[in-house]
Amino acid sequence: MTGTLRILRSEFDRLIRSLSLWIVGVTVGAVAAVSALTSSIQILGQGSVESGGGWACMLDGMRTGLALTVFALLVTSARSLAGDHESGLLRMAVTRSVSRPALVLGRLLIAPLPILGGLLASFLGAWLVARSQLDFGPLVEEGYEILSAEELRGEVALGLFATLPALVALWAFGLLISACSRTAVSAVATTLVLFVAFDLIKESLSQESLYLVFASFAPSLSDSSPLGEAAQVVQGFSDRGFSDELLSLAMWLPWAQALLIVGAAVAVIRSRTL
Amino acid sequence: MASFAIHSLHKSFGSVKAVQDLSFEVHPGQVHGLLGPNGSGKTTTLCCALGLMRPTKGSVEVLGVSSRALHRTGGRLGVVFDQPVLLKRRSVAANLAYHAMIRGHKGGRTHDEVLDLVGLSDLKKRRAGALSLGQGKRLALATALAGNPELVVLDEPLSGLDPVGTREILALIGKLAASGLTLILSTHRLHDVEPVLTHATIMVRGRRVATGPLSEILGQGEGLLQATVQNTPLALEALSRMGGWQVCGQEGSVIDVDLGSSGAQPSELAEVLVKAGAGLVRLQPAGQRLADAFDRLVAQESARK
Repeated sequence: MTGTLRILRSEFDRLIRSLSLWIVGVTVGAVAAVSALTSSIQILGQGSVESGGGWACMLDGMRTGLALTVFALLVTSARSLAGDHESGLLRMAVTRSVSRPALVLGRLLIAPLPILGGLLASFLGAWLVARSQLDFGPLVEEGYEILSAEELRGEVALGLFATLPALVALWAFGLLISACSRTAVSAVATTLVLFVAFDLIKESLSQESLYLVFASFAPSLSDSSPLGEAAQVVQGFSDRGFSDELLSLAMWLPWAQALLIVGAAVAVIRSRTL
Repeated sequence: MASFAIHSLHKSFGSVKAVQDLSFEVHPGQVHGLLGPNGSGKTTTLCCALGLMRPTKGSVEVLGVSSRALHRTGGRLGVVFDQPVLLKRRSVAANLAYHAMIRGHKGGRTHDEVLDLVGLSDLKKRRAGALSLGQGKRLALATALAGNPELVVLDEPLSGLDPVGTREILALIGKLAASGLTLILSTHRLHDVEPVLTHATIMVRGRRVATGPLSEILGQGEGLLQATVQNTPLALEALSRMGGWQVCGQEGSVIDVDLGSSGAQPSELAEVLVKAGAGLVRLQPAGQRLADAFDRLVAQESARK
């Protein structure tokens, strides 16, 4: 356990000192802001929303920011073990008081930092623009209050909450590919190709089979995430949104799959030559 | 108790037998050389010993701990790999801090003491990427020495170094050896490391051909004689006619003869050379160096095959 904490600490140290990750964070925020801005222009152009347009605007920006965050998470986690294997850091760690499973577990436990960082950057970028352009009151169209501000806030929170486990599972997936790869380049390429390939075939899958894979719950280019559905709901589409069964699936399935994936990554790291 | 013990280690890659039935021990205070030419299995042996690779058969204990659980040595082991493992964008001091974070165990030498020991005190603010190869190797050694390890393993500590860098690293190893630290050096540069070694294990084609105190390994060539003659062709012809001994080298008028297990005495050899009219100038025991012993052991191993 102490080895896991030491790896967690050293990974934290490296992440916060990584200039490229700060640049990615700023980029995520900026992209979220631009997306929110285009969304606000569209909402204002339609003119049908009298109040509460800020929610949809903010969620559009956040979805875009989080989709970018997903790619950053995949690249970072995939580079992690394979890159450190290349540089010799893994060898060094296992000869200095760190067990092989701790190499994976420490890197898994660091996941909340980039995930919350991406979430915060997306939120700030989108919220600042939405706040400056539109309001966060109840959703009112043509004089009718479709959803109260409380209900809208609840939908946004639920959408976000149900999306986060998928991001952890994606991080774990990147670690597994990284554990299996000889070089950081091949790990990153493999991870991205597999994720994008799944994104491309997603639309041809039935809903039952689609939501058996954790990646379906993550924001992406072809978005089927709870946050994507929440973005439709806050625009007033009453036929959209996750059913209770799907929401509960989004809450536990990615965790279960993440555990299996991490177990596989630990097994690979335990058996491979470092 | 041995600081490092390898028992009947075997490692195969498919049909290639990289290490075969290797056993040796390193005891506290020894400076032990794991020696052999490239491809002799030194690095594979160290990888198995350090838990980086699973042996096909056999076992390794490092500081009383199985090689698959080296994290239990609790920071008593320091390892310096062939390529220094450094964060190149960080300073020398920050690299030490990072390695200490992973090692986790407090106490022992301070970072300043370690930098002083390896002669990098003046460079502690310099980026690791801006160091020379020799300085990088010294920094890698510093990261292994922080925390006061009992055993330090150095894989090819001299590779890629120029004569100045080689002298610096050897001086440092000498200083560490004098302080009583147990050291294992894996290298093929026999001539360079000979002065600092107390013990050695010599490997050829994955097999151990000798192990023990350096004096014993050098002493194994006691039957080696060096004959200086005036007429080399005549001497060589006479030596080849008489059986029992073996000519194992010749340079100009100097001929190396191994009496080996022939039971022949140096006086008999002298008599043969004198009678042949080879003009024997001098007959003396060959001054054995590690490289000579190594050549002899390799030749014996080849002959055995």
